[in-house]
Amino acid sequence: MHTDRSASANYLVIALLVSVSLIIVLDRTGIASSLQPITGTLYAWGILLAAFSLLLGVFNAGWVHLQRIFLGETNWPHSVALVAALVVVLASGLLSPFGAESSLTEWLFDAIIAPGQATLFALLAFFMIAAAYRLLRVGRNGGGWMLAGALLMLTAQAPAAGVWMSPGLTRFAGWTLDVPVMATLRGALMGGSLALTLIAIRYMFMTK
Amino acid sequence: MSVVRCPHCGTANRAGSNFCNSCGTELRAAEERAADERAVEPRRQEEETAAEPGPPPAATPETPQPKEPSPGLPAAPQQPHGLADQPWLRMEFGGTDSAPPFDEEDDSARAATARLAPGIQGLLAPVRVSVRSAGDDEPAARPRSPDIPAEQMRLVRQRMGSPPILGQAEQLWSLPASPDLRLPWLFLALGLAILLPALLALPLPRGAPAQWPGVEDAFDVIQGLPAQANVLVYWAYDPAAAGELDEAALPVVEHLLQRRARMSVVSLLPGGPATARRLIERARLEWQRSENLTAAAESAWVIPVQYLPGGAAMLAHVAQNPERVFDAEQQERPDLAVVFGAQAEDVQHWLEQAAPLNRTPVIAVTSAAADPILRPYWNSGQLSGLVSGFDGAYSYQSLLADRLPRLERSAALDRQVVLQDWGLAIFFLAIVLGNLAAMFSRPPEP
Amino acid sequence: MQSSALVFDAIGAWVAFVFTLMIFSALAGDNALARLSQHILVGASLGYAAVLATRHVILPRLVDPLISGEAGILDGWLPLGLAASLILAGADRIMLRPAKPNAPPIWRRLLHGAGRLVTALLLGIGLGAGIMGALQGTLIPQYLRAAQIGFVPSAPGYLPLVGLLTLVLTTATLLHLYLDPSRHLDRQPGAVRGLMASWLWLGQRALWLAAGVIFARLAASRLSLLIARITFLTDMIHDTAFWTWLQSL
Repeated sequence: MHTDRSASANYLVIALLVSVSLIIVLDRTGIASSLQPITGTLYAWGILLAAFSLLLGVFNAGWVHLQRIFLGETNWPHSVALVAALVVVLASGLLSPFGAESSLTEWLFDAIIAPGQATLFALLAFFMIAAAYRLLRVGRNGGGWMLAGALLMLTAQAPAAGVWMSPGLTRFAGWTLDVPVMATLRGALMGGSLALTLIAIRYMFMTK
Repeated sequence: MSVVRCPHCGTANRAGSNFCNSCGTELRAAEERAADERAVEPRRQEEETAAEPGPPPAATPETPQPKEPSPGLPAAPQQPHGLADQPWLRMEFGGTDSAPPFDEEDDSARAATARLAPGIQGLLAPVRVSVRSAGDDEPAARPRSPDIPAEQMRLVRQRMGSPPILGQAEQLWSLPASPDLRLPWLFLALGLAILLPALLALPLPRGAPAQWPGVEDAFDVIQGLPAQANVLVYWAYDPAAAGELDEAALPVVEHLLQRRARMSVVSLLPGGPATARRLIERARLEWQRSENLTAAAESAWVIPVQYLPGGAAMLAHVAQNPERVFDAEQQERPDLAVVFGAQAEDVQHWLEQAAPLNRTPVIAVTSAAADPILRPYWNSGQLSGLVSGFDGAYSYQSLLADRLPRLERSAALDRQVVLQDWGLAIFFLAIVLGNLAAMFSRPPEP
Repeated sequence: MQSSALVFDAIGAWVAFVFTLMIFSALAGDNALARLSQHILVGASLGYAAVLATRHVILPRLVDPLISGEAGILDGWLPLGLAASLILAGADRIMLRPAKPNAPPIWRRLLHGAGRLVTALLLGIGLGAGIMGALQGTLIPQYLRAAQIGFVPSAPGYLPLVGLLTLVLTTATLLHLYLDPSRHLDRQPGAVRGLMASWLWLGQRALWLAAGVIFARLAASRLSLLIARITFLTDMIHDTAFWTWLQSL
């Protein structure tokens, strides 16, 4: 948290990190099942501390925008809107005895949060079509293979393919999904897990 | 107290420290080098004094001599204190520094000069800052930047320094060599291809979407559940993905209700519990309508929905200590776990954190994009069933309709099936246009 | 009462309609409406998350048991102390800027040290669970399945061939991800180098093909989201009197 800190404090933090990780690891391997009450307590603390971290994050975001407003920085009116929305939702949820299920909070969820999030993600379809235009080209490195995979699956998953195409195409697409693509992605998954495990072990024991 | 400054981040560390407290850079070598320089410096000063006829005129506080900035360039920022010996942090740094180049075979030299990756506290691989020049005996020439007009450089700097803006997509994505098609036309085509058929109910020859392997297995597992079975539900999507996932989750939840399963729902997303409550309510209404049940008779079982922050690790807590997550009623071992996940990672998290602990069969209901990535888990038997996307939803609904003839397919799913054809047609068009444009505009990229 | 709830719902639907259009307007270019709607969305989402964390986690799992006396030191006071140090250390970093960053007072160092302990605790839980999850949930089962699938000689018909293909592609992908031909193959004998190069070639092509398939499924997924939003808009339009009048023409 601070640049000028003693080495012993560093060791204490690392010792805590490693010992907590080891407790979880030992419990999960089944070697020491007596550790289960301890891991249960650790998880319960984790849930509580994560909730407090979330509150801290919300406070940080609010503080940043409040400063923007007070300093009159660029786009400060947008910060006013953000802080106002935050305060309204916060008040509606905290002041009502029903919390997040209070009628005003539910209304705000249905009218603002749900459509807003859904629309933001719906915009991704436009990014996808831009990518289809720019990237799926025969001339690019590996483009032919990608194009083959994409065209096969785009055709097979189109509902109209059931009317216009041979059922063999769908069967072939299913086989592609189930055999070569599955085998390839199994390799990728194993590679990813291996890398994740090694990074985590390195992080724990600080090996160079 | 004497301190030693880190050559990487400039933090003052206690003298004698082996590593920097802030970034983890090794300090011992830096300290030795600094000590050597301190020993050499007085000698050099003596030599310079002997060689020069007199001291150069120094700028006094009364007569400040500020450096004139070059025309067209901003004034050089002041170097932060403690960074004087860090050439790689200076604006004019061209890729080499005073540190000796690494010898591939000499680990000790590497350790002495290695600077660690920022942002991960130097715990992963070291970053090589120094580079070996082509001619080892000659000083390395500073790499010259290509001749780029000032206006273009200004534009590049402006774009690199500002957040990406969706509305300027055409300008941002158009490289000089790319074919000249305005992407907004594609956007418009896609928007209209969905909007017009939805608004005007345009007809299209309609077939049934393909049924991918895994859907029938999911159906069979739920169909085989005993009455009042305990089902643990991990709700890993929120309104952002509800447009797709709601249609896939609806028939599965209806089926679970029809099998009188006792569901307990947990979500790690803030928007998850509200999304779950809405969909379960919708499914309950549909099911009650199809079976002519009164709401009072079948709403006795309240489905608990829990929100747990803390990330994927907390799923292990759900599997290991369900009594601490839910009420006492959910203490029995679950008969089935169902994951409604927007991404493949959500299902992976359950399979990695919870499934090895409670050994419960798992069914995944996911977005279409997650399907290929989850195939290995279905193939290895870790997933007992896999329902994905609008086509998975359609297939599951069809299987369910065979058992529950009164159950109607949701109108939203019907429209998905029709409108997917229109949207996918535009995707085909975009791919064809892209390839044609590349073919006729320029030679293919290497 | 019921009619007022209906009016409330109708207003909510129209707010959602306008809000959807505001966010979609980003497609036409950067504009004030799109930016405003995004800021409102972020503010509302943050507020909602804070409400949920407070009402669904902190109150029922910590505050209520402490007030009722059900919580002890381990499941009540200790996590409360940890949370307090996390909040205070975080708030200090967010709100107060130390005059001498390199020589903070002792209380601040202690506070930040306590905050770091809490962070280490959370990180330790995540790391331990992450390592074991990757091993138990992905690496070992997938390895076992990959090893098993290629060697079922008793399997009927073409299945052994399919199993072999699966094994070859899985290993080819793994090799492609972990092997650098210029580093690892240069000193190998020619035959080994040729074999490995072909294997790597196969792995790369398989990955490209899989990427194409994933792209197509991703396109269908994102299309579903777009269809859901656009049909929401068209449903709202269909419900208006204007549309009814238009249809009567």
